[in-house]
Amino acid sequence: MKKLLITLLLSCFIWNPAALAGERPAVHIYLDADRSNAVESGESIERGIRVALAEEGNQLGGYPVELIIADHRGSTPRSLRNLKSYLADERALALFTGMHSPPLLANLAFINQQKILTLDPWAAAGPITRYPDGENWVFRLSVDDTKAGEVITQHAVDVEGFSKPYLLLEETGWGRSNERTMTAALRKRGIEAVGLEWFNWSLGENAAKSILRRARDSGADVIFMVANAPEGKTIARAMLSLDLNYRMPIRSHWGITGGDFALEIGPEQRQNLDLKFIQTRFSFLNSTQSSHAQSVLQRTKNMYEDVNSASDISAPAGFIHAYDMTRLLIQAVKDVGLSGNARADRAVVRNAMEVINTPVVGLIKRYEKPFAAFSAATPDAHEALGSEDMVMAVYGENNEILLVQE
Amino acid sequence: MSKPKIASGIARVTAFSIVLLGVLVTLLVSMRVSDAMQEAEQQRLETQTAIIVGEFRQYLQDRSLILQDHTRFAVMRQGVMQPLQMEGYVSDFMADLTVLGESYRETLVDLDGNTIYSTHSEPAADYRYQPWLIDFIDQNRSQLIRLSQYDERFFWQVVLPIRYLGSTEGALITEIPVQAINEQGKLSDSWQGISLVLRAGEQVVAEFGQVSAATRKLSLPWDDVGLVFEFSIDESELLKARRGLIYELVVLIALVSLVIVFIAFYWGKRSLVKPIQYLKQATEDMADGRSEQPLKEDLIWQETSLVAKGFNQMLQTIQQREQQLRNSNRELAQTNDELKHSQAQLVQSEKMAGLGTMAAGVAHEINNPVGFVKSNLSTMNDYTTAISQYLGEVNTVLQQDAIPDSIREQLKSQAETLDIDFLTADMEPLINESQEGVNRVADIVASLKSFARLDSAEMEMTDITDGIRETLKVVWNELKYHCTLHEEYATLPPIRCNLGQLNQVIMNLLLNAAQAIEDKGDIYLSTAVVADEIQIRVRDTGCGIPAEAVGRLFTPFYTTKPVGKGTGLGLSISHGIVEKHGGSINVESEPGKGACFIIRLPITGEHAGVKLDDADTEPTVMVR
Repeated sequence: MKKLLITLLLSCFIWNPAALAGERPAVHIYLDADRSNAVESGESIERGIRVALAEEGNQLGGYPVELIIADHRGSTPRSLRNLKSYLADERALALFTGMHSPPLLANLAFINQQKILTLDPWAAAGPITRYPDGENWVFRLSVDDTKAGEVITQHAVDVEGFSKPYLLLEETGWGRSNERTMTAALRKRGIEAVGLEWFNWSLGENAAKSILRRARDSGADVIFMVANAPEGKTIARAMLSLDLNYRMPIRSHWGITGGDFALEIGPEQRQNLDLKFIQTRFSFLNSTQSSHAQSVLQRTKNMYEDVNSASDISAPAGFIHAYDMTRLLIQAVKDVGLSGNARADRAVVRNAMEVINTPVVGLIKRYEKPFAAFSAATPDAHEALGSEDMVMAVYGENNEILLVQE
Repeated sequence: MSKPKIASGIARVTAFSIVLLGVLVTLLVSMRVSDAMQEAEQQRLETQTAIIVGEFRQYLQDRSLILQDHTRFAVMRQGVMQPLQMEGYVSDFMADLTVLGESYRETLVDLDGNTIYSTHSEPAADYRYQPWLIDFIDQNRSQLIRLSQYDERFFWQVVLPIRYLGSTEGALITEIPVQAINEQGKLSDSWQGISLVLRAGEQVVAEFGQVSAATRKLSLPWDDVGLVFEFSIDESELLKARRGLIYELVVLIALVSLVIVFIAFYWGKRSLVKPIQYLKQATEDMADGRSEQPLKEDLIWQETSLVAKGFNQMLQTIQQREQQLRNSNRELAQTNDELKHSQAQLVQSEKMAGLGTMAAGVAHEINNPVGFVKSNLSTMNDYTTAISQYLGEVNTVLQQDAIPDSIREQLKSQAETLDIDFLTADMEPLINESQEGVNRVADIVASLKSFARLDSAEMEMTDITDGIRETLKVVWNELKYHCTLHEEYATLPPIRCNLGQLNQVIMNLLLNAAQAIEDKGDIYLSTAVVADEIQIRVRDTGCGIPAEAVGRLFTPFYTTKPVGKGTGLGLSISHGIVEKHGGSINVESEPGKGACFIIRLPITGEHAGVKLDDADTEPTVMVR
């Protein structure tokens, strides 16, 4: 673990000529993401951050930036370790987190109490940005479950006409927050879920099949699924192994896009699978692309040899959200400048994030005052996106994510 | 000095060897057995102790395997990933966990060692930031078994990782009391003569089983747990067993040795001594002439067979040589006989030749005087006649008166004195008798000449009867005084023969017959024609011939006569002569009653097979 960190640190030094030159001490940006179980999500977040920073010459407020990569593997205790590493670092400014709500949910109090400037491009649980017990240090530019449930339900019920959803949720804080929002969204439409099933991580395929049989036997016509890629794959495989009359459409949260779901459940298998999932309203694959989006794509292609086209950006949500979030961070730093004292700067920048008045052009949208001071009355104050920014999407034939045009 | 026998020699050597071997084998085997048993015991101990250690390992491994299943439950995995949210689920789940029916303390910890849930709250345990646990999790190890101690009780700590998608996110730590493995002595009771002390450094962790007298100690480390297994072993039973085994072995070897000695003795006797004794007996028999049979060559052993074979070859060679010697001896004897015979013949022929010459000379010399005596006698006879005639005339004249009486008387007285009358009367018979005597002399001389056959030494066709008669004339003088000769002559055909020699034979036989008759006796001489041969029999009523002499009668120089009376060559020469004529001479004799010699001569020439016309005619029989 230490070796990995040192290697990453060294690589960052090499990446950053300013640091090597030793002009000013580097500002450390942490990325505590899942680099093991949902590798694609972690990498795409990193690339989003790097591309955005690259646009600024890898500088923040005149300081060179080092991106320090940590891997929580989806584990709360492991994430806590990483948070402690951040705290132990005198030059750590902000911490990007990613993929998986549970570590954030479990460590939320610690984060806020320890004043860790947490930027969330990919963790959807509603409570993450809603900390009622003090200063709120978590900002999100991502799907928010409080809205995701509504968006999924709205599309499935209002647009597609399903009426008997069966909720299939992982046994975590994220799963439970979705249970609430989805149930609420359904109730709003006078619908009760016909069933609810919880599953643990490392769910087995046979257990998944039993769940799907029960779902079908309950008379459901659609499954609302909240799962990450590993369990998402298991459930998809289980579905594909069942008889045709047991197969049901799946309307999923976006957790499955964080890993190698599209690779493992390939285009041919997906032909037998009616699967849609929520995404934010931007895709490099949309027919019309702004000049900014084109330049970002171009820069990305330049920076990463494996990216030759838009469809080569895997887990694009991580990239898009991280890029936009970094843009917001850059703007906030620009607004207040940095003192060089990271601990002090964290608070300054946190406050600046809440008052970004300069519009920031991102990939998803042009951000006008994206954040505000949080209070019980303004639960979305730390949410950069609204439900209008979320749509349903499908996997294309080349495993690319295609937004469903409504 | 009597020499030792092979069988007992073999038995002694075998016995000595076997005893030596037995002692050596016993020593060696005892040593080896002792070593082997010690080695086996060592191995047994090593195996046993390894098994015991293995039992411990297996005991823990079995439980570890079940515990590994516990770690795979999704709720356990998620429990370490999201401890706070999962706490309730995890506690509900873990509360009922058992391992092989036993409820051990199982503690689920996160990657920093924070306890998420523990099935037993007592004794309290704090695994936070334990280096071994952090190391275990960071190294992503698959199992750790270590020893722990609470309240002076020792536990095995079985640490198993809780993994999610390959990486360790926490651990399940299970504590199993060390003594639990030996519940009610179930385990240690099965260890024969072995007790065990588990040590961690100087500290005694656990003791299993008891032995009364430990003769050996053995230590085995259990490195990965940092323990040492100290075994105490009671070997007294083993030593007893070893002594017993060695004793049995010694007795067994002694018995086997004894059996081998007996077998060697009998085997040596049967296989080695018997053939040799057989050879010895056979050679002795052969030497004594009791047997000339070759030895059996089909003997058990190659060597004795070869000896027998060699012996037989030697025997054959000796027999051949002996035969050759005999043959040469016979040839020599024959040659000797022939030589003697030739010599005798030579002597006889010389004698005969001398006799013949002398006879011829004598005859010649006698013939002349005999001739003129005969002639003179004849003349004298004539003279006598004339004288007688004259005297008659004279007497007549005297009767005439003219003659004075005186003269007459004178003449008459003179005549009476001279007995002239008798003289004149006897003169003629005298001359006749003398003439007869001279004739007889002439006859004898003629016979002598004829007998000696001075005139014909060659074979010629002759009637043997003539020869016989001639011969009788020669020998008659020898016979006439004490023998009565009975002659019986058949009419014989002439045969080709040397009559002089045959005469000699018959003379010989007649003289022998005469000599055999001491006082007075009879000699029967006969001839006959039997089938194709002429038989001449000369039988006497003399003393006969002893049986032992019969076979040797015809041997040269053999004689029964007193020294000076015979040469011993007569019959030998006779035999030779008869054989020369293709005939045979045999003798039949009964001692005290006489002997009978039979000469058989084949009828040859034109008379062979011809039945004589007068063969049936009565033979001429005479007795003299």
